[in-house]
Amino acid sequence: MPLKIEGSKIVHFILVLSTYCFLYLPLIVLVVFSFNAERFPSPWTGFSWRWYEELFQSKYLWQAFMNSLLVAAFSTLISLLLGVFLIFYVAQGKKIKNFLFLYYGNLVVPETVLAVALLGFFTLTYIPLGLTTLVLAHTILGLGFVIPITYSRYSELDTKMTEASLVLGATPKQTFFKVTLPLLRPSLIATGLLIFIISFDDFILSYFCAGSSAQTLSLYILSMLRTGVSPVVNALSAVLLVLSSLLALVFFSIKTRVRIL
Amino acid sequence: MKFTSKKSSEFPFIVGIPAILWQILLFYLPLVLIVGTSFIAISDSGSLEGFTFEKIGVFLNPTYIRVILSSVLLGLANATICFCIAYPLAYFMAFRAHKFKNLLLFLLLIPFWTNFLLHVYAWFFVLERNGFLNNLLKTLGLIQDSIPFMNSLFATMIMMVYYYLPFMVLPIYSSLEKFDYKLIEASLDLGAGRFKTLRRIILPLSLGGIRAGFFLVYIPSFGEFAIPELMGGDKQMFVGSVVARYILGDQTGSLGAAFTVLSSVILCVSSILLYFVLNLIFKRRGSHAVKN
Amino acid sequence: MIKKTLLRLFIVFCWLLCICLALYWPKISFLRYNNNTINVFAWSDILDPSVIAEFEKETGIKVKFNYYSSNEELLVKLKATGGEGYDLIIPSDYALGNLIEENLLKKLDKSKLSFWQTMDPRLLDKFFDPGNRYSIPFEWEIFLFAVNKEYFSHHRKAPSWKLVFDKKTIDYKIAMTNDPIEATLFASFYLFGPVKTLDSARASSVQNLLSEQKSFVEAYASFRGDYFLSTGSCELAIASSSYLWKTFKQFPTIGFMIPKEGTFITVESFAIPKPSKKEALTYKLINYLFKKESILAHFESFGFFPATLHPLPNVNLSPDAEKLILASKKDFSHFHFMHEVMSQQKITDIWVEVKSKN
Repeated sequence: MPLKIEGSKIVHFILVLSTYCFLYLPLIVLVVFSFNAERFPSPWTGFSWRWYEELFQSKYLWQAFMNSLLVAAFSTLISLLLGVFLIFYVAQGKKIKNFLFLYYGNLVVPETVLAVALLGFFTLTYIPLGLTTLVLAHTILGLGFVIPITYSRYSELDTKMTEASLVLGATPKQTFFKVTLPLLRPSLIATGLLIFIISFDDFILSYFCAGSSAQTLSLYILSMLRTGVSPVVNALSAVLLVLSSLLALVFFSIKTRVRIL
Repeated sequence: MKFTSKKSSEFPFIVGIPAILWQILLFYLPLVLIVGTSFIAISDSGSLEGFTFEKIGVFLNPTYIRVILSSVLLGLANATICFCIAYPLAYFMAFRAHKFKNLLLFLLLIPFWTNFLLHVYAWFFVLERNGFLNNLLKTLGLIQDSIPFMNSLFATMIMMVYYYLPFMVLPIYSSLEKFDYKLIEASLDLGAGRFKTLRRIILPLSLGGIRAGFFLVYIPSFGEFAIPELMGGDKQMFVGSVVARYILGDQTGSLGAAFTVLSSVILCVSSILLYFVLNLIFKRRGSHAVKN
Repeated sequence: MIKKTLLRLFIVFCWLLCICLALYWPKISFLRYNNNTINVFAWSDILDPSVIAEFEKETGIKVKFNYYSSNEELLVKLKATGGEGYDLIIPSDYALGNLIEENLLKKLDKSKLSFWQTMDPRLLDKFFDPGNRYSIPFEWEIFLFAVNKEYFSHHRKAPSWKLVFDKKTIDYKIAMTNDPIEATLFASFYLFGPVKTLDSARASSVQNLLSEQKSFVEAYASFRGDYFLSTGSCELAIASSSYLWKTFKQFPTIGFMIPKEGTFITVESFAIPKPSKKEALTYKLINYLFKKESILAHFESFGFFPATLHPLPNVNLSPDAEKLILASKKDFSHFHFMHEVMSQQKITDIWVEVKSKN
């Protein structure tokens, strides 16, 4: 009996190992080839930083990168602000529990449908497409995360803290800023990171709602992919992988220290 | 804006209302609009003419229905394959990994947090004729000529599973993590084999996570168009591809909305069916004593 | 109570105003009348930013860009605003004809254009703008086949549209264009020659041809031809000459073929929308762009053939590149202009039909 269990455990372990290999194989190949001296489809010819140099000199790429960064930063900021404002409203004793369901649809609706709807709306009202509309579109996604998560964290907060603060003479406003908000901070930071990454990597909404004038990183990579294979994209991928890992690390360390989701 | 002390009670409202306004203006209004434009005829001069099923009718023919059904199949196939791979992984992470639980979770998150197009790009390097996989098989002497993996349904499926796997793993993992291991021990002690325990106890109790995973994978896969274009050589059309072609072709914008509405309806119906099918397969039978 | 509700409504109204302001801000700043700026609406890969930067330095005129990615987008946007907001646009041939019909363009004052005698006469006075009253051709390119030279010299196949459509003689894979307008046009040309429009019977034949073709299509991609050829995924790709220009430098194994029955070209021309009040500035820009240095700079960057007769640089060119330049000097008897052979809806229907079947 014990041997049998061991056997199944080993099989299980191998299965999990192969799954992780499956997940990481392409990324490793990608990074390795970013150092290849010749472009694909040549096999490995030698180590070179050439593509990284080209990467850091490309104007269009940096423009697209900055655009993506700006859009992600603003969407995160606006989503978090709107979320905090709403929680402030709740903290003053108003009830919105019945209205929470309004926000569940944001993540359930397929992004394509949302993109089409927004595009139709912008076209009908003659709103010019560009980075602004993109920020607005991403905040919809962001709100779908912020509101439910923050509200559920807020409702789980220990009311003794806020009660104590009120009893000691602070106004509800002060209580909110000095007590409630700091307690919610880890959750807000983690959710903010999540929204930032989702907005930065977002593709479908950018494809439909950015118009032709605004170029984000995803769209830039798409146009490069559509025209073939360039080792500069390999170099870019390696850089972005490192960045994503760092962000994931930050998110992770918050999550494991404090229960936020 | 400064208010007197009498009106300061409205301050929360000022602060709180933008969130609701934003949601209504930028989420519900546009959705209502596309449903509206799908059903309202607009004459050439721009005036509204009345209710019409004509626009939807353009798409009620075998070609477009076939496109929608292939999207449904693609989504379901993707979700099923993801599930088969994700469940053992989530189970391992929840019950067998012990110290390494967090590391495994972290390793899962990194690909999840990298730009999806870069993943597509990465698979070019693996699957191309002179890519990693073919070179490996040739070195091992298993094949002589390269196998054309790319630009096929196979490549599309691999990429879909690869990308959506974390979406399936995370909900299942979080529902398994809350699991009380004593239930499993009790079941084993009472003589049920591992498989029976899995079937009767674990699967039904993780139904919430399984459902969430299925929907998190099925619904976005339905609208996917970039992966079939880049990995599949754009030889197959799915809902997303048709929508993109109509919407960005501009002159037929309202038809694009109509097609989106039609596909969404079918998506809704199929999701409800999926919900019941999942319940049928995984729900616990007989035993009422075990609480969720 | 009523006071409270009214107050709340007022607050809601204020917020809506703020949101609308944020939404429309780009449009407001765009439409603000600026004496020394011209707004250009163009393809993203047609005007060299360094040339534009030099123009701005020399003349002090600022050039603002907005981009479109398809002629349909240009047509819709221009029709919607009546041409307002833009001072220079760069439509393709058939889109130009459409715009002229809709009376959206301003007549040109040729006396202001200093370079007219350098223009290539083959591109002037075409059906979409007889006499060139409204447009100046700027660049053009040819649709041709990018081929694996070794394979095709070995198998001795004559350059013809049969190489991409004749199921019986094709035993290799091709990369087909992903633009339905081009695809239906090429198919219709193969079956019926240079016809303007197709009736429904002919449209069905086109659809059948494209469906049959699918069995030997490796992928539908308009711009990845050289990639597929270099990895050996296909032996022939339908591509445009501007794209191949860069390809010849990187991949010496790739050559080109022009089908003997004839092929298609597309011309991008400058035009000025009617409502524009800044023609003086626009003419300055156009004159600058047609200077010899600009023309050559654009050719180096993007590979489109210029619409002028300036000799192209011929140092360090591969034999294929030289052959391509030679081919572009031929007369236009075998070159036809791009156009739509059916209504857009019908083309889309056929395309979806072809792609959704296996």
